[in-house]
Amino acid sequence: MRSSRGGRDLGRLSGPVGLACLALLPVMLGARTYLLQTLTHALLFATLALSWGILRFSGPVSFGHAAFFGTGAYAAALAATALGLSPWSGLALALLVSLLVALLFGLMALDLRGPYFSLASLAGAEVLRSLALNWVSLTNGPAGVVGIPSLPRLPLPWPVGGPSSADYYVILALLLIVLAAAAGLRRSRFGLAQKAAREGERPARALGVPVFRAQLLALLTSGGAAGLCGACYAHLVQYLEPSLAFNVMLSATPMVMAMVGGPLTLLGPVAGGLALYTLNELVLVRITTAAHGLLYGVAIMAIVLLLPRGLADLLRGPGVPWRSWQSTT
Amino acid sequence: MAPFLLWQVLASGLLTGLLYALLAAGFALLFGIVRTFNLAHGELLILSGYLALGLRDVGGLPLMAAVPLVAAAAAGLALLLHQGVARLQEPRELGSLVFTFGASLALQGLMLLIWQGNYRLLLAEALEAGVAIGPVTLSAKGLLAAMGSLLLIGGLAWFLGRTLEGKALRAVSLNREGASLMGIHLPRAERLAFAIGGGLAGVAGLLYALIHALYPAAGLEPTLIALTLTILAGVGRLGGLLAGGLLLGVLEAAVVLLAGGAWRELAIALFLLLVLRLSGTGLLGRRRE
Repeated sequence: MRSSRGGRDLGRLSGPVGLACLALLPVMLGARTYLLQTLTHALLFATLALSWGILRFSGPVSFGHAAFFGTGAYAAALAATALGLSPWSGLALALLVSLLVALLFGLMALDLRGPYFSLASLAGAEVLRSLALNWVSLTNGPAGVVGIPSLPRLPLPWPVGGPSSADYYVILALLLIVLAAAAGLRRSRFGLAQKAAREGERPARALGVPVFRAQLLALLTSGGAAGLCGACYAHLVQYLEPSLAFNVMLSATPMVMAMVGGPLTLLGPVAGGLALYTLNELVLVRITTAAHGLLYGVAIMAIVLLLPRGLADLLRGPGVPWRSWQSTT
Repeated sequence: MAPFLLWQVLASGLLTGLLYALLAAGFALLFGIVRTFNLAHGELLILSGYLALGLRDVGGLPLMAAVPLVAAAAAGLALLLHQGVARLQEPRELGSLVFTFGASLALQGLMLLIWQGNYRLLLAEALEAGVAIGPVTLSAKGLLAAMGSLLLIGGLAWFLGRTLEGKALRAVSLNREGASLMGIHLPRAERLAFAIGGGLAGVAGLLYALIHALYPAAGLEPTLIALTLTILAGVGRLGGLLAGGLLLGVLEAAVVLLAGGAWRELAIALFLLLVLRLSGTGLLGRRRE
């Protein structure tokens, strides 16, 4: 049997080593832009899955993360095209607007019991999709928003390379910021309160845990992060329409990714997102595009039936570095 | 508003409402017996519409002859769904929601694979005419859908109220443990509920497709409607479904008249949020923990 100390050291090392690999990837890939763009999107969806996991950590299961994603995407797109703001201030505006939507939704729905919250999130996303489709004077309706500028560049101390690798670094930075926020939240007093709220809302309330405040904080962090993902997505694809920004798959995808990786862990949703997106893009799309929803749907059903705690359960054993993911919960 | 417009809104809203009550009937039955919101309900409806379309276009079957086939297919699919739901870990409440959400995505993907994303209409030329009754004009297909809905809801009420099997189902929805102690076999009751709920969804889907366009993602709207009415009515109240359906139908007709047809989806989703909000705080007699 391996000593648990060795396992822990390995677990601690895997973070910096993984980060260094991710940071150097554009240099290693060089001119292979298609691969780099795929990885950029994979990082974006990993961040979206992480944002779903931030809320799930405190209890509520969201069926409507497309609402925050779409809000952020439209805010950034309209800030850049209609208002003529610079991309950075557009991203800040997108963050503000999606925080506002999360706040309104939280005040309205957070005190609903589990399944009823999930249903409210489903309906909330549908309300926003319908608004984006029909409020033509604001969003240009089904015709969509065109001419969105590309992402701004990060001032990095080493040569960034072409536009695709510049995009890659922005999304990587976004993932790291959201990851740091999530980790900080979990270590704080609110992290404990969120865990208590998830494991037993009534006993937690009885003990004086501020359940509502803890869950609202999770919802704000989660909604803001998902909004930033949407905003970056708008700049990445440079075109937006309601069925793209508020697609129900944008609610389903982060849910599947987080559930595959382990919804209650910190790095599980990220790993699930990276693995599923690249698998989907590099293998499945070559076979058929329409089967995308079919496969994700079947994956959800299989996971709920067979592995309610995620695929990470299969890989996790005594002394395996993946174990360190669990220790953050 | 001119008085004849008011009558028109009321009449067409009532027709729509009857169909909505039927949409919700199978969904509400399942919720009563299994305490599961079946989020794949709408996809079951849309798939049934596609099946009727396929039977007519490929098999040359008239719509009336397709009804039993579509109902049987939908019941079979619902029984398949039950195989999964029955195996979920307790507590099933949230797990079943996620499971049926997965099923709805899978069915959407399947429909996209088979029929592509185009809008399809289940047109029947004999039904395209309008029927004038007093001051209002109603579409023939709307009338047919409403009459069919009324017939099926009446049949369901008779089954639940008068037959031994139906009474057993009602007993399970009122008190699971008590019903089990009285000798009602719960798994059998669940299977029966899924089969009936699926069959109802099949026929409802065919009627729904007479009025609404079919496309793979169309299932979300009927699911939201069924959810709204079920939560509004509470468990085991067929009359409540009917009243809620009529209310939603008239509300929708008014929105369409005043704001335009594009806003009806928004009205339905907002109405669901309102119902969730009110039921969550106990205004409609539902508890919050």
